[in-house]
Amino acid sequence: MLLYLIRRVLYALPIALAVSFVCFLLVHIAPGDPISSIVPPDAPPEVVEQVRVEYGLDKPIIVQFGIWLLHILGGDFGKSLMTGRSVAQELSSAVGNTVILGLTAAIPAFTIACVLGALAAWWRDGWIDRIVGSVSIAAVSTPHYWLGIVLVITFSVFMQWLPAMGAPPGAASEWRFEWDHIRFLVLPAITLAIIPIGIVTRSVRGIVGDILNQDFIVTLGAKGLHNRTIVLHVIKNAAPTTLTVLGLQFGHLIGGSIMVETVFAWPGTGFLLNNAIFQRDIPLLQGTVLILSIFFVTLNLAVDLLQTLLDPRIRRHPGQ
Amino acid sequence: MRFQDRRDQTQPPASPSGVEFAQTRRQLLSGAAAIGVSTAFSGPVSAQTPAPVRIAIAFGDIPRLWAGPDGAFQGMRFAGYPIYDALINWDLDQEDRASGLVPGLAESWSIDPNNPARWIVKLRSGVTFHDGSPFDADAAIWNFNSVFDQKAQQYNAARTALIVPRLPSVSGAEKVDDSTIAVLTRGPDAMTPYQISFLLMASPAQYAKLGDSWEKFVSAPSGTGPFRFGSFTPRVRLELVRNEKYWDTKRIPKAPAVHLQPILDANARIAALRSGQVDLIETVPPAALASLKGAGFSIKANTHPTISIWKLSLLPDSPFRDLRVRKAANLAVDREGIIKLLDGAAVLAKGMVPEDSPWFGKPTFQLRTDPAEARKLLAEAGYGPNNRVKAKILIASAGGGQPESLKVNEFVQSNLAAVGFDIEFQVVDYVTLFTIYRNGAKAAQSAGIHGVSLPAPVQDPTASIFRGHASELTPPRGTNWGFYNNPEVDEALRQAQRAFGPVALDAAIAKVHQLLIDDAASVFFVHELDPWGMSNKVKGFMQPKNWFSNLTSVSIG
Repeated sequence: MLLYLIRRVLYALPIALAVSFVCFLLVHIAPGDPISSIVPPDAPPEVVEQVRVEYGLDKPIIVQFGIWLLHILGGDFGKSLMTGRSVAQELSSAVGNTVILGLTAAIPAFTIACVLGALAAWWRDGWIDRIVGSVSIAAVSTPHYWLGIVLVITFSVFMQWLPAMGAPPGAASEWRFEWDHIRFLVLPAITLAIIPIGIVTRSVRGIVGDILNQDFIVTLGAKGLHNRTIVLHVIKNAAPTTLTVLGLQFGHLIGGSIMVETVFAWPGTGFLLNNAIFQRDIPLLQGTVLILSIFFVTLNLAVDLLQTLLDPRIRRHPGQ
Repeated sequence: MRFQDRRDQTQPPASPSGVEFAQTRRQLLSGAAAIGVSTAFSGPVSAQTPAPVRIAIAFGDIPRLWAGPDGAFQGMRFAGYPIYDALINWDLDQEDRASGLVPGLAESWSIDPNNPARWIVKLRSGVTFHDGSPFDADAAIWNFNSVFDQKAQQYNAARTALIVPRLPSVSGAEKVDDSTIAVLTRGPDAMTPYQISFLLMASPAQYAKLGDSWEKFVSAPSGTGPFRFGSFTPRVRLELVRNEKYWDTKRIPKAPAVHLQPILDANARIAALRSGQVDLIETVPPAALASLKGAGFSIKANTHPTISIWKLSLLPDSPFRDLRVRKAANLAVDREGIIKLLDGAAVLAKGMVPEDSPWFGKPTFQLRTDPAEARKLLAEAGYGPNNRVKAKILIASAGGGQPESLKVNEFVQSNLAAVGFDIEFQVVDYVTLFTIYRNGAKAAQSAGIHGVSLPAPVQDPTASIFRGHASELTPPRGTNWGFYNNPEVDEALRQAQRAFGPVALDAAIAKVHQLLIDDAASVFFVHELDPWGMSNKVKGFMQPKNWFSNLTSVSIG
């Protein structure tokens, strides 16, 4: 198990680096000079050159990437071109905000989706299944941007119950589980949760439905076991696959929240990434992508390990 | 990360509760579903505690607070003048005419009678920075050195790059005595006072106290302006607190504090206003003006000194090299139509500056819509139905203070098509547009491009009028992107540089402006307005005809 863990961690490093390198190249292939986002067009050429040197933008691309990599190994993510603040500092607050938002969306969304999916599978082809199916397809088909605006118009503009956007003062660094802070989360969390609810519901329905059709379930019924006991068996068998779906969806929630964070001006990694892309803030973009890719890889690893723990049939050993 | 100025304990509570959601009758009656949450809302603001003014600004983050903010003029609007003063300030206390210059931290300024490249500036006495240190000649020189002396410890290239383009004539400053300095210029330039207005004075003592670092200074900035730094949460909020000891007692802010919240998305800003989360929003999209008014919000939309233009290339491959083609393009533009397209959020342009500006002059070429005359000029230039004018214009998909860039450009494209132009667009993002613009029309990236769509700020004569048209200021030295070269304009600009005294300078700039219009130096569209939306609780909001805002007069009633 330990060897497996070490191997997976070692696999993760080149993946994270490859993602960062591809991202780095893409930013440089795109037209436009990053320096144009931080100095006015009429800045004296000698001063522009000083800025270029100060930020290391005068060096060949591959050298820039190498220097960045060396600094990263030393724990230095560099400075944001736009704000001059440390990227590590920017990321720490943004990651905190995104994790708060992601968890707030994921916990209720996954719970609701698992219950709905299981109910639909249990009463397959019945009216519950049809209603759950319609709801989940509607949820998957709802554009984030549109839903966010509709929720804001309804709950912020007309009812004035909840803030339309933004984060509480201090955001993640001064986060408190009090209504004054939580109310900023409600609308973005609902918006973020809708699509995963649809996807997880459909997936769980399929997983549970397949298990219910298997011979051992029929045997359990034939033996006269109570439905409650059969459900426990179903849960145990469905858990590893469901966990994979949940892991992927949680990854999407954290990494794919750009649209929701932009609509609600929620200062997380998606918001940061959006600003960094439009302003060609390469150090910030690189740092954010690296952290997100490490997060994805770590999440997948955690899911794999949990699967091993949950399902004794999955054996991992060197060479497998 | 949250930076908090602990010096001031009198500011209103940082928590938004109590100020952001005042309960209304409708809320109280809005049903049982509200009960669970309504207890969490705070009650109305106490009559004894004046509320801060909450403003949503069109930024993704608060511009840097280092007395030279990024974000161009809008950055200066919020992160510059509220906290800092320049030696010479803009007059932001009237809104019926274009702002002029007024004494700031300088009581007076005049040209050295023995040296026309040296300005003697008498400093205001008794002024202190927010940290309590005195403003004097040493502090002023320290600030000049921060951008003009590369050996100075406080010199920072990135900050300098944001400031020095506004002071192209200035080369440095020297101390005369404790209350007098001399500002040195590269040659005689009567426009120097305008340039000095862009150099904000930061506190050297605060900079030293924070470890001689701009990076740390931005976490607790100190200037002499009407607002002091309160606290700052990156990407969330900047809290500015009234400076009770402001030297200009008439301009001590009415509100105890101003909270600036960066909201880049225009729809999100509107939602924040309509939900009561903020009191004022800037840069309201024209399409939203009617609905906001209909919902009972107030709109203020004064002109600000800017004009949308196509800056033209006059290189040999450009059809705009021919004056008749440039004039035809200007005569084809349906400016009334653009104003309708912008839901009234613009005014007709008769020149680069509005007609009532002292810099307007008496151009003989009238900017008007006259398709017949445009066709006639094109025919004289050798163009016709079988030989249409073909040109490519670079435009940005968004950004740069042109929220409706695509819409307006496509409208103008259709106007020009009607008289014989085939205009093609190359659409890029704003950073790419600036990269191409910086490198000039001769650069490889500009190959085949005959014009750039831009908003041209005409607040001061240096930026767009001087640096955009002087023949020696082609890239990379200036912003004469299209290699405009008119000896008459060059001579008029030289005369303007020597026209010392406000009246003479106005007349000289008017002469330059007149020549530029007569020469149809660009394709001129309209002067776009600067619409602000506000709740009815907002009192005293004053909108000068300036890029910078007066946040001192506004309060919550």
